[in-house]
This record gives sequence, structure tokens and C-alpha cells, in this order.
Amino acid sequence: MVSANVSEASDRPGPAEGSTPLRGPGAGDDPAARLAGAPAPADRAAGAGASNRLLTGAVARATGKAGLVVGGLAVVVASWWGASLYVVGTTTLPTPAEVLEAILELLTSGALVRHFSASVGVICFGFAIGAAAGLPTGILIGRSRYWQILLEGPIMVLVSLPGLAFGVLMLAAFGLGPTGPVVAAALVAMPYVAINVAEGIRAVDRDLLRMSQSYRCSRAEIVRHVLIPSILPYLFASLRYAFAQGWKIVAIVEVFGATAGIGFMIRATYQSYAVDGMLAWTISFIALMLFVERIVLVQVENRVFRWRAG
Amino acid sequence: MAAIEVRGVRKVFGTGDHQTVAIEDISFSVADGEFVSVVGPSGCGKTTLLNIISGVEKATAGEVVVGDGSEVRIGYVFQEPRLLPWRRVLDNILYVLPGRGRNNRARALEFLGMVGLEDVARKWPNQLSGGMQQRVGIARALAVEPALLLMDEPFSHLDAMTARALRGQLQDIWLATGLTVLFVTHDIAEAVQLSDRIVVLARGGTVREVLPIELEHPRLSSDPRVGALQAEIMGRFDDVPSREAVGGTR
Amino acid sequence: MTGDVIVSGAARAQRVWHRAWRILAHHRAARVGSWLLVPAVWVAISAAVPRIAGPVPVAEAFWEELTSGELYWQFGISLRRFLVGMAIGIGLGLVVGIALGIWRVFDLLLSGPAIAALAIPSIIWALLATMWFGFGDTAPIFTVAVSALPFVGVNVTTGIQAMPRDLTRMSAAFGVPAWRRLTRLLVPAVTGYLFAGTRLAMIVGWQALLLSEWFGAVDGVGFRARYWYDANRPEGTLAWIVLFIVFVVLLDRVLLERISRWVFRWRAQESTQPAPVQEA
Repeated sequence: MVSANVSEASDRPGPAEGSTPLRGPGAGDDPAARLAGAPAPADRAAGAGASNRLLTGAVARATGKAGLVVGGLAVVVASWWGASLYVVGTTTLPTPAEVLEAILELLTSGALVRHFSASVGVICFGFAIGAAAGLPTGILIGRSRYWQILLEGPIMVLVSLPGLAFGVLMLAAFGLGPTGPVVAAALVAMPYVAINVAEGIRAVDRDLLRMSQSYRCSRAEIVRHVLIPSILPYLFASLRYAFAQGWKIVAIVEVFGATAGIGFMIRATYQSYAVDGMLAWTISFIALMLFVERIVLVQVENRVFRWRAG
Repeated sequence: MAAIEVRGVRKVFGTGDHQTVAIEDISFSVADGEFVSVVGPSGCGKTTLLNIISGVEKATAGEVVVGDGSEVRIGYVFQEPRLLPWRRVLDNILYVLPGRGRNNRARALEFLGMVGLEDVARKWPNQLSGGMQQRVGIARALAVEPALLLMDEPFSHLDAMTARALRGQLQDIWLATGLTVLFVTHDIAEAVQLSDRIVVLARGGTVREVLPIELEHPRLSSDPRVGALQAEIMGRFDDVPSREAVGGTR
Repeated sequence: MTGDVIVSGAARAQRVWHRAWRILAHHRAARVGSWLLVPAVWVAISAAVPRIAGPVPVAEAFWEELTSGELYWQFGISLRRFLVGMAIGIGLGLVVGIALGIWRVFDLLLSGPAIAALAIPSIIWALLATMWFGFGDTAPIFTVAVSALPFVGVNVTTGIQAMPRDLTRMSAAFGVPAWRRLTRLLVPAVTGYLFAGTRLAMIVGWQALLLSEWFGAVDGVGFRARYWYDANRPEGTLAWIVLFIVFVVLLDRVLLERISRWVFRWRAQESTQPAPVQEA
């Protein structure tokens, strides 16, 4: 079940648990997948010799964990620099220094903040709408097999829509402006929320329900103290997954038809063939999204679920 | 404090071809302030009986009269603590108390104190041991100030030491409050130690016999008369397992 | 007399209504309904929004492409790019995944960048590739390869790391030679995750291809979809998108599902491989 592994949003990939048949050409997703099970044990695979172990040990000890993260970054930056100077030339691939300069420029000019807030605002607003639509839908699906059968198909279709479809359709329907991205975000969030909430409803602990009944608790109390807390972990899981999927689709939709926001800026730099600008926006964007995904959301979840710590 | 009258209760689950008779026919009575145990093998409908008495389920036939027939407050202690894991201990007790108000908090703390857990009021259930969680469950049942306490194998999932301690505490509480207690267990030794009478059920849900236990209270499990009575009764019911017969802890 | 007729008419109407309700409320009706719901919504949206075409114009556009031969031609081009890109992506992903799986050094160093790589949306690769490689074959192939690579790599690494320690120790205890350990132990362990990763990579890659061709190609499915859009006939675009979705669904559910069942036939209970890693 969705469990404390929520907080193990570690830097190690772990196999995602029990996926439902929902799948589709989203930007790589498993919509209703429950959260990752325990991270895979860091085993030595066959072929690791004794000398390899010594080397690893030495390196690990010498640098420590944080050092390795920095080290990894350094490797990437170094190869980038090398490629840019010696392999392809700086017009094609600007050096890390040039890109960094561009990022700082964006920061100081305020452009970064302006477009970031536009995109983040779009995502939040769209998600709120999607969650508001998905919550009652999920409850309906969770409680009634009839509705589950009826709505499952269309929800799967919604989830399977490729980003390009969103881009084109939103542009066709809403033209330029923020409406398209907001609707896209809502359409991405809604099925995730619905499915996971349905799962949560089905998983409500019957013993707790019966306990509440034997103490003659009112319906409102049961909803407030038993149902809603039971659903919350599933809700959070769905928001986390929806976010991981949704920001990529919002990016696409913004590339197609926004007037502000990160996707818009990425398109703008693309059209003016400013590779350094494009890389600057891309890196900042991804850094921000990863930060939200891995740090902000995880912290919020930890706070809400601290009763699990035990 | 309430008396219980169980008359000809019958419970059938399912309809048509797929019917299971959980309770064939059970009749017995519990006097006001009495401690009565119900023992029997698994499948004799003990939990169903409790559910019917507490009103969570309805009997297919027969009737159950609790107290004078009007709405009676009932405390229910289950096998598992059934605490809301996302609420602190104190809030778990507040959950079952009607209405709001300052008095409730004081009451809840008082009953937590009765089981010796006033210190953990702010903790989460996950932070407590199994025995402590069960004690919270007992405190919760007592906090509604019930006329009747229903207990469904409350100590069966605890280790022997904790169960022993809790049995002693339960006895003290019962002697202090004069509650009517209906106590379901599969452990005859436990029933002998605690109850005024033992209702023995047979598989399929009928009353096999009713045994009065005429030792005075409080009873210590170390009292040799208690032990002798336990051995004698257990000898008569080879098919009803008890802790000692099975050997070792659960 | 008329009174009787009216009453019996009302009674009959009520019976019909009851009968209809019972049929509608049955689960089978729900199943049928779920199939009908999608086209119904489509029709409703196309009626409400002028620029979104309904099923009929889309079908017509599809027919046009089919009969003119454009369908086969463009699809073939895209398919070729897809296969080449996937081959490269899977190959490199395999190499990188194994390296990170076997040598802990690499894993510790590069798992951070791996997370970042997984996160980069394919649209960005598509745009970058067009800026770098222009409007030929290279950009789409590059986009596909680069989008697919992280998924394969991460899954292979996980597969290696998930290998039960007991088996490794057992092999060492029996003095099994390295080569045999490699083929009998490593390969089967990896295959499952490799397959799972590839499946996911295909879906991502196909989408990346579409994006790349939309922005920076002169032929292919993505280009053709854009062609219709620029010609202000969005029904053609939708036709190609529908074709695109159908292809992915067929590829995944039919072909890959079958292969998956064959590859994992030793697993008693299910046909499914370990669920793939798609975010680090």
C-alpha cells in the first residue's frame, strides 16, 4: 500500500509498484502506479572483482556522499565543456560558463521570476481544478462498480493522450494565452486524482468503520476522521505523479501557444536560435521542477504523514 | 448499568442458496453488574453475537434487550486496538465522546489515567506498543461511561506478560465501577479468572452450558483454587482450547 | 372507457420505464457506455469548438491520406527513424545501465545526472536537436535516442542491483567462472528490467519523434500533421494524431504484451514484467 516510502524519494531509482493497466504515450508514465516500493538493495553484481571493491571503497570514503553528488555534476560539466570547446564548437554548444552567464542575466533582469511564476501559477491553478474535478469522480468510481466500468475507459484515453495532442488541441480550442495550459494541467491532473482517490476509498479500513459504528459516531464525523485521512495518502500520491507528468505536458502546451511562461520562452529562444538562452531556460526550468518534485512535495507529505513515523 | 437479555437469537448471512448460519439459537441473560464470559471454538458466532448486542448488526430472529430497552451507552473493545492512526491518543478518545467542550478533554485524560497512560496523550498510536494501544482502546471504551462493556478477545493478540497485567487492571476497573461486562474469549483459563459466569457456546452457535464460577473477587491468577478450577473445567472441554493446553504463548 | 385506456397507458409507460432503467443500470450497459462516451464527448467538443474537428471530417481526412499514398510514405519514414533511434537509445542505454549497475563508482557519481536526464521533457530535446542538426533525419533520430536512453539505462541499472545477493554468493561459492556468471546470472536478471525499460522507452520515444518532426523535419508523421495544421485544416492533424495513438496502443498492448508474456513465461502467476522505473 502507499506507505512511508513516500519519503524515500531518494536519489536511487526503485521499481515502481503494482501498476494498473493504465499506460499510454504520455511523457513516460504509469498513472495510477502506487509509490515505489523499497529501494533496490545496492548489491554487487556478478563480475565485481575484489580490486573494484577496493577502488569503490576508497573513492567513497574519500569523497563522502555529498562529494559524490558534486563529483557527478563535475563530470557532467567537464564533459560538456570539453564537447563544447573541442568537439562541436561554441556556436552549437555554448560552454557552461556562457550558459551560466545567461542564467544570471535572466535572474537579474527579472525575466526568470516573471515567466516562472506564470508557469507555476498555471500548473497550480490547473491542478486545483483537476483535483476538484477528480476528487468527486474518484469517490464515485470507488464506491460504485457501475461508475467504475463506465468511466474507466474514457479516463484511460485521457491519460494516453500524447503531449503533442494536448499542444495542438489546446491551441486550436483556446488560441494563444494562459487558458490552454491551465486546461491542459487540469486534464492531466484529473484522471490521476480520480483513480487514486478511488483506490483510497476502496482501501478504507473496514475495522475502523465498524469501530466508529459501534460507538455511534455520526456520518459527518466518520467522513472527517476516518474517510478523509484514509484517502489523503492516495491523494498525495496522485498529485505527486500528476505533477511529474503534468509539468512536461504544460511545457509542451506553452511552447505551442502561451504568451508567457517557460515554454513560451523556450520557444522564443528557439526561434531566435539562441542556444545559450534556450539552455539557460531549460536548465533553470528542470532544476526548479525537480526541486518542487523532490523537495517541496516530499516535505509537505512528510509533514502531513508524520503520524506514520511511529 | 444495564442487564442484557438474549432470547432465541438467530443470525443467518446471505440469501437463497448461499446461506451461512452464523448463530443457530442462543439464549442467556446477564445481570446488572455481572461479569460474564462467552467461550467457544472459532466459528461459534461469538463476534457476531457481540455485534448484534451492540446494534451494529441485526439478528435474523429472536431479540436482544439491553437495559430497559432505551438507548444504552455501550463501550466496545476489539481484538485489535482499532485506533485512528492519524490522530493522537487523546484525540482518539475524544473521537467517541459526544459533543465538544472542555469537559471532554478532562474526561478523556481522566480515563487515560485510569489505565496509566496519561503521559502518552500527545503521542501517535504508532509510537505505542501493542499492549499500550490496547489499553488506550480500553480507556476509550470506558470514556463514554457505558452501561455495558463488550469485549471481543481483547487480550488474544498480546504477549502473555502484558495480557496478564491487563487482566488484572480490567478486574480492578470492573470492581471499582460495577460495569456490566460481556467478555468473549477462546481462553477458558482467562474466563475462569475473570468472570462470574461462563457461557459456553458450541460450534454453529448454540449454548452448550452455563457455568457459574463461585470464587470471590478479586481473583489472582496465582490463587491455587483458581488454578484448580481452571484445570477441572478445561478437562471437561477438550475441544475448547485454552492457553495452557496449547502450551506456551500465543 | 377512456379512463381505463389512460390508466393502462400510464401503467405500460411505467413498465417500459422500469425495464429501461433495469437495462441501463446493468453493468453491461456501463461497459457499452464507456465505449460510447469517448466518441460522444468528441462529437460534443467538436460541435462546441469550431477549430476542433469531429470524427467525420477526421475520418475523411484519414481516407484522403490513405488513398493518396501519403499514409504509407510518411509513416514509413517515421517508422524508420523510430527504429534507428530506438536501436541507438537501447544500445547505449544498455551499456550505460550495465556500467552503472556493476561498478558502484559510476552509479554513485552519475545517479544524480541520471535523475536529471530522466526529467528532461522530450520537447526540449526535440527543439535542441533541430537547432543542432537542422531539418534532416538526424534530429528526429537523435531525439528518439536521447529520450529513450535514460529509461533503458535506469531500468537496467535497477535490474542489476536488484539481483539477489544469494545467487551471486552461491556462484562464487561454487567457483562458477565469470563468463558463465555473466550469461546465466546477469543476463536473465537484466532481461526483465531491460524489457520493461524498453517498453516504456518506446512510448516515450514515439512521442519524442512526433514532437521532433513537428518542429524540425520536412517529412514524416509529425511534419505531415503540421502540414495540415498550417493549411488550416486541423482535421488532418487530428487524423494523424489518432493514427499515432492507435499505433502506440497496438504496439504496446498487442505486440509488446505478447512478447512480454513469452519472455516471462517462467513466471507462474503473471505475464507482467517487474513494473518499470520511470522516475528516479
